[in-house]
Amino acid sequence: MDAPKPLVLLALTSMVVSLAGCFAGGSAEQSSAPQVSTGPVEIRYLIAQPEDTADLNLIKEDIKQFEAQSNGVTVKLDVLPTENLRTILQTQLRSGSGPDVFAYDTGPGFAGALAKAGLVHDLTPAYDKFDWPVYDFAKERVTFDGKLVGVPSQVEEVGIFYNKDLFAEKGIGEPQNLGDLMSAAATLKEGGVIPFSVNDKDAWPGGHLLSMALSSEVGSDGMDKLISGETPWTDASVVKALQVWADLADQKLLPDSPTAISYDNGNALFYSGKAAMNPTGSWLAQDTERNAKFEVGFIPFPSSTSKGIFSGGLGGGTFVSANSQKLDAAEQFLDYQMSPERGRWSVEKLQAIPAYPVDTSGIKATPLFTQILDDTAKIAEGSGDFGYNIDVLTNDAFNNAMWKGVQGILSGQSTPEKVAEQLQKNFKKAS
Amino acid sequence: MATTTQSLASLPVEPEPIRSSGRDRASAPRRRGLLLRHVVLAAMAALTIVPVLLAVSTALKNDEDVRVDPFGFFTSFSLDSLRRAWTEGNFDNYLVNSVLLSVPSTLLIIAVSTMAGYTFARLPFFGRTVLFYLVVLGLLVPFFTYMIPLYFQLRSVGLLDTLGGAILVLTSVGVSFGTFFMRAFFSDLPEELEQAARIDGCSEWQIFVKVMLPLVGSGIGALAVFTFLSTWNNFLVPLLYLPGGGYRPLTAGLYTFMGGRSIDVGPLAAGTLITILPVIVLFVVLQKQVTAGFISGAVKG
Amino acid sequence: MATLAGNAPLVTRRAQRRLGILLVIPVSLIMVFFFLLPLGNALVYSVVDFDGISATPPFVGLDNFREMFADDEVWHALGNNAVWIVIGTVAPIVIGLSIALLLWGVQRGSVLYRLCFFLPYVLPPVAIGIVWGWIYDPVQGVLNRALGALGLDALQRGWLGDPTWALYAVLVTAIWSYTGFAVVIFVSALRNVDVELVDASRIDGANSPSRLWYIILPQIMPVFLMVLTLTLVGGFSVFDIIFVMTGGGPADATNVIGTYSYNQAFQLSRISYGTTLALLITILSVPFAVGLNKLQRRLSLQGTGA
Repeated sequence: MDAPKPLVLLALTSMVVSLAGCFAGGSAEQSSAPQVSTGPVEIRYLIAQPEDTADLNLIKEDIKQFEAQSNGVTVKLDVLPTENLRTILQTQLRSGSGPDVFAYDTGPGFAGALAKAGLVHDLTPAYDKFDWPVYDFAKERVTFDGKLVGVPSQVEEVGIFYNKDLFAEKGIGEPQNLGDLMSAAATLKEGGVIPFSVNDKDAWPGGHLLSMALSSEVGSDGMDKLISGETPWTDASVVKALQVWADLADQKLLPDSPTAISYDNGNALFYSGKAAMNPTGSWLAQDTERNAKFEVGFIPFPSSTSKGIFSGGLGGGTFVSANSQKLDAAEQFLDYQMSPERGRWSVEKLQAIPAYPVDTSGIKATPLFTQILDDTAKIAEGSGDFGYNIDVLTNDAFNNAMWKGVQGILSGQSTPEKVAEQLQKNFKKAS
Repeated sequence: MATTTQSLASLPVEPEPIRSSGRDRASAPRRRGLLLRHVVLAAMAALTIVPVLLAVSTALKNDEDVRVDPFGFFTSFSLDSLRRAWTEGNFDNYLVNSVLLSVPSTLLIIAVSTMAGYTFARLPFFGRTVLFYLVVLGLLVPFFTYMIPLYFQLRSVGLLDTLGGAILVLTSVGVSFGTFFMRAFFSDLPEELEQAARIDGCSEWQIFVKVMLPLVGSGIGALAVFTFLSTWNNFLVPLLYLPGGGYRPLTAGLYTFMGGRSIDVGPLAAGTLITILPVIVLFVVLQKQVTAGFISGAVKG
Repeated sequence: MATLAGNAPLVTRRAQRRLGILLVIPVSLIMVFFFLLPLGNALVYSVVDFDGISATPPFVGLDNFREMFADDEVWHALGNNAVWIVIGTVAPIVIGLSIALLLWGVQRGSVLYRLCFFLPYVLPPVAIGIVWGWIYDPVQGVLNRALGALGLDALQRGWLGDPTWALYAVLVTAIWSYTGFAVVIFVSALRNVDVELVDASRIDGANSPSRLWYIILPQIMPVFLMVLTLTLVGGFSVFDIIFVMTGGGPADATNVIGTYSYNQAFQLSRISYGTTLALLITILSVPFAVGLNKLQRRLSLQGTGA
């Protein structure tokens, strides 16, 4: 009797069984008809880990405010690390034991992918029912296949924070076009100041750098054409926008070795006055005001011919799972998030720009932030053009190429032409 | 090389065998050589420790100082960062989780490896050699090759993101070496013991448990320390197989702490300190076992 | 391997066989489920196009492999692996052996020294990466500040963000953490060296280098080879420290096959391609491991005494 036979048999059987399941991603339960929320209902709300623990407390506070006026709907908060959110979320949404409401990025690689897989609940009727006053451009970002599937959380704009005091000291006026910006930079450099505090160690800031330069150059129309694939990314305008940063690096108008400068380092350079301009986003407004002991202005990145336009992106959105059993309660939660009071609260407490008009009179917001808010409102009303934050609109492979590409340009490893080629190669039209 | 017995001429400095302790061969060149040796060694040792000191220094700064001058050595002292890391930063949970992951894994690895090691050393059966090559294969093939499919495999059986799943993966990573190690120890034991016990009427199981096992105590001890350290320091397994952050241990916690836009250096340093402190303490207290373990493990390979 | 001679009673052999099979079941189960199975799946993944979601990925034959050989980045990463293997093997061995030799004659404080040198080896790579990141920080880090204080401003660099230097910076960190292992192993190996032989050669007038080469090294050759094997094979699958310190960047400057595979699989969801790359690591490293092991065995059998 051969002893190992049973062992081998066991191994073979388990191999066959497991191979059958090796591609499976977990089963999706059938969702029964959604319940109307009567009596106490608990909805599960999943978010990505906020960078600051203080922010987490604010979110909890927000939830409590909702529960106070929700007629029995309570919210259970789940927190996941950002980078794991994507893989876990899909599994959870499919399995039927997932969250009812979740906060997620709005790009085609994120919410778009979920929408394509039928995992998010169609909110178009809810928009009509509750009459949410969301900005049109924001609505577009959460519309997939003609359906509104999410509620935008906040708008983020990228532009340049600049040290007003330092500018005044060196006799530099607010740049009116790209040429002004370059000569301002040269003057600053002569004065012993780093003109731009560019930090690209984490690679993602590169996307913003490209977004702001490119958006200003081609306007929202031009961006639309690029995002839709009508204009190829090898177009001269893209190369030119990339060239701007290559030139800045070549002429040493950036810190030494920008790819080694971390996000914190870069900001610290600006706050300490060692660098005069910080090209980054509105999320930093509060921090900037807290840390900069000088007057700060926020301007868009200029184009060759004009002051330029702000580039914005929807930071994220809130979505409802298609498999949720508590759709009414979930929609109620979203309605709360779109209310004017909550808008004022998020301006005051979160220093976030809501994606709908908010009456800012009487709010304790810093002057810098108020200015940003006003600019946003103006743009939304249509009296201004708005550029795009590219990375929330494009797929992973493209973003990867973009982030690596800008890093490569800043470190001298690559050229604008090569990067543009890579962008085009990795570009996939959002369906 | 032929050995000759010429008289000792005045010789250049030479490593003295450790056995000749205390005897004072106090010729000046020798003493100078020894001093020089110590200087070099001390300098290198100090350099080696600098990064550890940096971690300690940064973790113990007060908030203001850490913002302004995070990496100056010991320019201030405060337990604030440690407190914040422990509470807000969740490092108290992470510590517990590290224990929850490492202890069961270590116990499992020891149990499994000891049984398997004994078998491969002393219990022949048909196909044993093939099985042994399988275990050796586990040592040769880098974790990388199968970690991705393993992720999806665990997902499909529902073991992904569970404590049990992570423990099993950690165990599987460690049994190859453990088996190899224990087998070497068991091989060294003399056959006579076995046969004597058999004559005494012991069953094979009794021989294993009552005779052989106690004799490899030091091996088990060394393996335990080695395994515990390597599961404690493991970072990829919890990162990949506990993506929900449920049972996140110190290593993965440290890594995710670094994420996000802005990095809070003070609590990060404190978290780092919390992560390495148990390791350092264990190492200092058990350093003999630790080094002995590594050495025998490597030499027997 | 202790095997019973053929003249052991049948009863014993059967009992041993029974117990053996029983005792070996746990390790077999674990190896099958957590090693063999995923390894087999890896081969399957490499011939399909799996994106992590679809349950029936399409069969693509050798496409992944073809792409891999045509991929410039693969060769670039392999180049980095090669640099890592060469420097990352030679340096710890040379430095480790030197320190061990220095320690050989010292008894006072030797415990303390060994503690200091071995400590980095037991620290978690994550923590090491973080702390060395502080040392290399271009603005406030210890290294640049020290260089500045010594008046060597010109040598200041972006280190981890500088594409030319980043890989070497991470290498230095890895060497720092690994050398202690070599030190401890060599110290113990040196204890077994025949001191009389060394003394005798000294009397013969041999100088230090030739003593090292002709007397000491041959006696520690098995151990030497073992350290060499471990380090070299490890160089193919290096991941943790690079991942933590640079993630493969800036712009792929420090990419090795390990980080490239991880990024492809988990950041770009190109699971199949990532797996194919991982298989490459195995295909490259296994022959080395086996070959070096055979060499080691052959040399030990030959009896590498003087």
